[in-house]
Amino acid sequence: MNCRTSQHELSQCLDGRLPSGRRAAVMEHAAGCQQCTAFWQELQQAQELILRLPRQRTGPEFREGLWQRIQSGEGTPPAVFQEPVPVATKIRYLATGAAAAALLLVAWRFATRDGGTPEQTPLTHLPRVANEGAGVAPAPGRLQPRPQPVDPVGTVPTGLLAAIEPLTPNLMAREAALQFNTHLTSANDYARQLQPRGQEPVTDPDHNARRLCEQAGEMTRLGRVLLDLQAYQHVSFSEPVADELKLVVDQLDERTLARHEPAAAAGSIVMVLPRLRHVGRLAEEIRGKLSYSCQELDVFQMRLAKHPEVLQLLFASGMELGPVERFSLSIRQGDCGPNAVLVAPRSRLSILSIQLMPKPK
Amino acid sequence: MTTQVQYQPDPGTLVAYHRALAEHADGLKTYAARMLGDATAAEDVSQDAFLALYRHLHQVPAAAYRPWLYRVARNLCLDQLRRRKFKLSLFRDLGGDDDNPFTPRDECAAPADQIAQAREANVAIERAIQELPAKFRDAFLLCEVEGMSYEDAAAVLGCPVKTVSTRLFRARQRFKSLVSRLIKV
Repeated sequence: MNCRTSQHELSQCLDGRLPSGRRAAVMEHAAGCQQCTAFWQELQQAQELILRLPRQRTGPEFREGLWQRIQSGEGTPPAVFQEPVPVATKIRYLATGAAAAALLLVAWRFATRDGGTPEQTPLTHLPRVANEGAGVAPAPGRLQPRPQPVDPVGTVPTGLLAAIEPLTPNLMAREAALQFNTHLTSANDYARQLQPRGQEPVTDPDHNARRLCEQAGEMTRLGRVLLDLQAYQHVSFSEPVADELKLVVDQLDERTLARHEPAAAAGSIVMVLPRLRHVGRLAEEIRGKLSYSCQELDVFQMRLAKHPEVLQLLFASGMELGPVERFSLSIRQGDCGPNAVLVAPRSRLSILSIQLMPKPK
Repeated sequence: MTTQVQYQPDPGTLVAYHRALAEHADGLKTYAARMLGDATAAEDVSQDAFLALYRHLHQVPAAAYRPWLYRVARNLCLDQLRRRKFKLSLFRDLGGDDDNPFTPRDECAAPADQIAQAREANVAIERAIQELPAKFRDAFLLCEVEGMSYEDAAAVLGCPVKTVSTRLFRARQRFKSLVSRLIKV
């Protein structure tokens, strides 16, 4: 054992971090090494100095002041969640082609706003997708997009770019949870349609069975995403919810269901649905981290870049922009969270979320 | 855009919150005071952190209160420092300034020369802490001074546990050499 390693481990010994066997080995080395012995003693004495330092005290007025602020309804101070971002990271984000392309996109939208038709302006495609009956048919089995409070057909969404930030696990999880709950509600509706009511025959059983299987498939895919996020400790939810998600993933696996006729598959699904008693609270219960370190975001986005099907699952494709400079871009819209997710898969850390706000009148 | 939610915690959560207030308020203020060099600002930061915790009690498990509070306090301190470009004059406040009295650990009456000696030593120690490189000082303040575990410190700093261990080791090496005249081996 060399002294450098020994001294590092002595530092860990001071905090009780070494297993007993390793500690014994380190102490044995230190006993026979003058340098390490002196180091160990100096460490302990330095710690003694620290322990003798005076501490600040909070008096009764601290608590009283705090309760007054709580009772007055004072909100969270804004700087609470402002994580310091290293300068190198800021430069990297600014320099990614995705950010530049997003700005180009916004500039293009404003430039073509007065002359172009809504159909030709990329961002107008988003509220059309968001408005029911606005002419854009959702992909089979996908959710009806949630209506947004925007002007009717033909009006350019008066959007201001509010924020560009990396897509986070938190945001993805919220999107997945909301979509899961919506599919669960639809599945229960289709399951009820398949139940006979007295003497009346079941209406269109084949159609309802197929729709039920589609909903179950979506629930399974979303359940896998959520369990994956939980496994990586990006988000958390209660054990009953986790157990029910696992039940969905195991029992409603689309490959298993696909081996059977729709009616038989629907029968299996109908047996599972009543056991899902807690997962309906998923959207309210799911908790993400308040903030993510750069390393966590790096890992998350690299994994996401390798699994584009996850983004396709969560964010319905709104507009493929094709190649812009070196990047191929698409804007995708989810049911909650950001209005759009910008994906530029050829650049690193380029999966961004863009929040659009209506212009103030 | 944020919406303020009037959250009413359940009794169990409220008890845990009160416990956290009793256990961590002083430590949080001490930590913030070292970050900002100002005990009054440190008290505001501590109160802000506890206020934020109250608003997010439904999101933070009780076991995570401490690292959560310290992480929030760190963010608030760094924000203040960025905005004010504050020069740390820590030892002025924590070294025993009469304008800002503190509670010494040993409250027994001692001769005046011993008090003066202790005060001088404290000033030297505080100066040594401030001379540590920022990353090492972060780990040092949390683990060595506040007695936080490596895991909690890693959660506060947003870095791996091994990084905390390494930074703490280097901080201790540096600190030890800075206060060598106070250490008799």
